[in-house]
Amino acid sequence: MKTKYFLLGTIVAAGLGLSASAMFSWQGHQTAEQAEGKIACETDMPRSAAVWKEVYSTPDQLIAGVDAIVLAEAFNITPSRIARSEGSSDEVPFELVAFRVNNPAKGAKGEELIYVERAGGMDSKGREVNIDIDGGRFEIGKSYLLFLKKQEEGPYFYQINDQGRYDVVGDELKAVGKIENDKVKEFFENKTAGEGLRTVEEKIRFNLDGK
Amino acid sequence: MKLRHVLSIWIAVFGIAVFLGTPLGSWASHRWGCWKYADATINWNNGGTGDYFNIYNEEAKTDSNAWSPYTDIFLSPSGSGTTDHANAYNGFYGSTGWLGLAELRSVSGCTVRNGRARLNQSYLDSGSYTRTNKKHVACQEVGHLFGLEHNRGETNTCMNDTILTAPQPNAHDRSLINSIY
Repeated sequence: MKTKYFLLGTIVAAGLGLSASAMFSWQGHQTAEQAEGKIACETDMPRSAAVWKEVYSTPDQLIAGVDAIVLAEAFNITPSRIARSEGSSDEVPFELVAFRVNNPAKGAKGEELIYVERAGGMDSKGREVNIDIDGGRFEIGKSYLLFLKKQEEGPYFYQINDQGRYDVVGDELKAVGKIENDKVKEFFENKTAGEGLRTVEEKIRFNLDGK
Repeated sequence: MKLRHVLSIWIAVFGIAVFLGTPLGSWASHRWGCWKYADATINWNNGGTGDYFNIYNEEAKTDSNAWSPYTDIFLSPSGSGTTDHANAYNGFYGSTGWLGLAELRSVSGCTVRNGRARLNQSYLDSGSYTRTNKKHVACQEVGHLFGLEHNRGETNTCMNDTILTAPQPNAHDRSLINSIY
């Protein structure tokens, strides 16, 4: 074979190799939902992101770190407070979501209703502010497995982070967090609501017995 | 040279290229959806107050590895606005669960028109957080606005949301930003 053809072939092989590696990496970074075609368009992706105060490495840490764990159904959403940024007209509206507690696994024992405050809703000018880092707006009539903390300065609960909400779809838990390889999210994802709740109760019982 | 030897060499070259090319693929990682500003020149409204003004300024423009000089992004000082604006704020937002929040207030397709970064003083001023921690959060929220997602794989970048001790973008963030804009 002539040298020039050999060199040309070598360059082509190198180019194909580089292209293949870039392609594999790109595919590897799609979310599971994208790979399954559930997200049709990238603009459907969340439009907010956060540094959470608490991020947990294991389900046990999450369970120990929250004040309440409930399987509950959203039944009412009302506007709550509007927080203003210092020295500016920037606003963060909040809404209050009322939940009917179906099964309390931790805290909220004996409570029929709990209230969760979350960022989002209408600002003072009536414009919708869509903050979806926590999974977005709750839907009235739908059930959720929630991991909640009591507000320090208020009477309500708040969702601990994006590891702390699982939408019940069919009878399965669907995580709202988008971070890949999140062990907490993966632990609850696709369990039935009953299984998820039972697992939480077992872990709480095990920890109590351990103490 | 025999064809068999030539093919072996080409296969070897292909394999080596795949191995060495993996870092190229990482350019595609840690992107936040498809979000980006229209171009690398972005109107920058530092609406921070007190030391938060300084923190935003340092992370965005004046630290040697701040977003603006360290990457291809150029932040043009501006007042508040809704077109091609990155706005930065702080406030006492209460028990929300988040130390910092990045919000794309207005987008057109994949193009960000109005992004807002916020630092939650209800937590950050509680005495539990150092100035470095606050800078880390500010750096990350601003990085989100430019189109970057969390990166839990590296500990030397502010885009890691499980630590608060790396208040700067790293070389990977820089490459990624420069490939986006």
